[in-house]
Amino acid sequence: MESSLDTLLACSIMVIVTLGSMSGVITTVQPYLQNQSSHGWEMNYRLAEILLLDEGEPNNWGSKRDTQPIRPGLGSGSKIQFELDIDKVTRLDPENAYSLDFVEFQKSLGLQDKAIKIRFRSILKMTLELVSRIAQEDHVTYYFEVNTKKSGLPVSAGVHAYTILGDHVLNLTTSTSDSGSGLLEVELSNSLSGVVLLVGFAKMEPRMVTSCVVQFTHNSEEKAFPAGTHLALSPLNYTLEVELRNQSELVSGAMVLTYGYCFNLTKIETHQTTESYIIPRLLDNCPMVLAVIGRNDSSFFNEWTEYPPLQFEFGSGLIGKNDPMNLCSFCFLVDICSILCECEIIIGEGSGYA
Amino acid sequence: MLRNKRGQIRVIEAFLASAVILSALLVAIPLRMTTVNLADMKSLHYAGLNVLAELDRDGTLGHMIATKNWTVLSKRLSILLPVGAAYNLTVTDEDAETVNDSSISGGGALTENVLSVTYLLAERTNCKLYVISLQLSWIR
Repeated sequence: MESSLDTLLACSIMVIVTLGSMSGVITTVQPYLQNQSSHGWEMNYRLAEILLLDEGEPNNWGSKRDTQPIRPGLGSGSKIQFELDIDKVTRLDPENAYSLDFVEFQKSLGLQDKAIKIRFRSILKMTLELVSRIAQEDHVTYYFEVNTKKSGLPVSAGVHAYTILGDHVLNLTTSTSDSGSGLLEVELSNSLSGVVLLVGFAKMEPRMVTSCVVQFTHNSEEKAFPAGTHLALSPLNYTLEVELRNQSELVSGAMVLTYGYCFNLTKIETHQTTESYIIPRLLDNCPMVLAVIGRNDSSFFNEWTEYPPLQFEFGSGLIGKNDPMNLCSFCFLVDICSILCECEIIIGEGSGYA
Repeated sequence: MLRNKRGQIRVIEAFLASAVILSALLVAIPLRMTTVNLADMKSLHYAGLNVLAELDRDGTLGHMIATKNWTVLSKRLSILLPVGAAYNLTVTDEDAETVNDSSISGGGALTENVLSVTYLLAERTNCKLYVISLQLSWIR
């Protein structure tokens, strides 16, 4: 009995001592651990912030197509915080012919040991979906469901859309309700045929605009083609460069579309396989959709691009063979040409590529 | 009988050993949570500051305060702040008097980990100074 009481006493003391020592160690170590983790987070945050606030060197590296920046900051140089330069952002878009090489970008930042991913996203999201088609004697009416969302939640927005079929351009206006949905009615004459480009813009305050482009066929057996099939479009420094993929095809015109405006672009240069157009500096706070209409032997085709691009990723892979560690993600609200959008910067330890 | 008592003590020992392991876990879990929360709170602080700066960019924030348009201000904050963040905004003037006569809040009720972002605003039309205090917390 005595030995049992001894064991019980010993166990109780053991428990008290263990718990006491644990809480003692935790109390001592916790501030250090917090400081260490917080220091890493803070340092990465500062890096991300500098990338967005700094103009870089040379300060106009974005608009010079062949210039590799010595220090690649994305800031526009204005006094407004987080206002990014349209061309510096455009040069991060991998779809653009003058896109920066990520390895060079990383070297210029002096961060070869870090994995960096930059994601640009519109705050407002818009989708267009063909829901029905009613054929009548002289025309066909297409009904598109418009959905507008912010962070996955439905929001009400004003909607402006354009349809382009060859030289025929149609203006459409609608809006989405508080449930985030609306209906867009597109009426096309039976005298027209081919692949139609439907460009939609949704707008809501404060300064949030997004675009959505869909293709559909009208009175034709042709199939919609993926972007970049016929032409490569690279806007930079308010000039659109059009590169023909096939010499038998011709460019018949280019136009700029925004929420409030739609007009033709002026051609400034023509070479064997390339053409250049001037992009106007519009006051409309809206990403510009640059649509190019071309012609091949049998029919019209359309290609488009966005300037500035608001939906792309640039940087190292975050999942794969050489996974980076201790990833920190920072989300900023940034301004590009007075358009409010989201820029997420993810920084981790390790280069992120093999 | 003696064998039975020994058995009881073994049970108590096992129970105590489990208690030690459990208490170790209970002490260790909050440590991890505190570390994660710090980064979350910091990012929320910067997000709040970023949103106020963006609203002030073209003088919209000052205009909404000058015209006492609290509904629109609340709506814009709800749109721009991250999903899952609850907020409460108070506007005070140069004499430290509260300007907003109705509550400007959204996203749910503020929890125990509330942080405050203070923003000094110069209203451009009437040249007035306002102190904006934005309280934020993550909804768990």
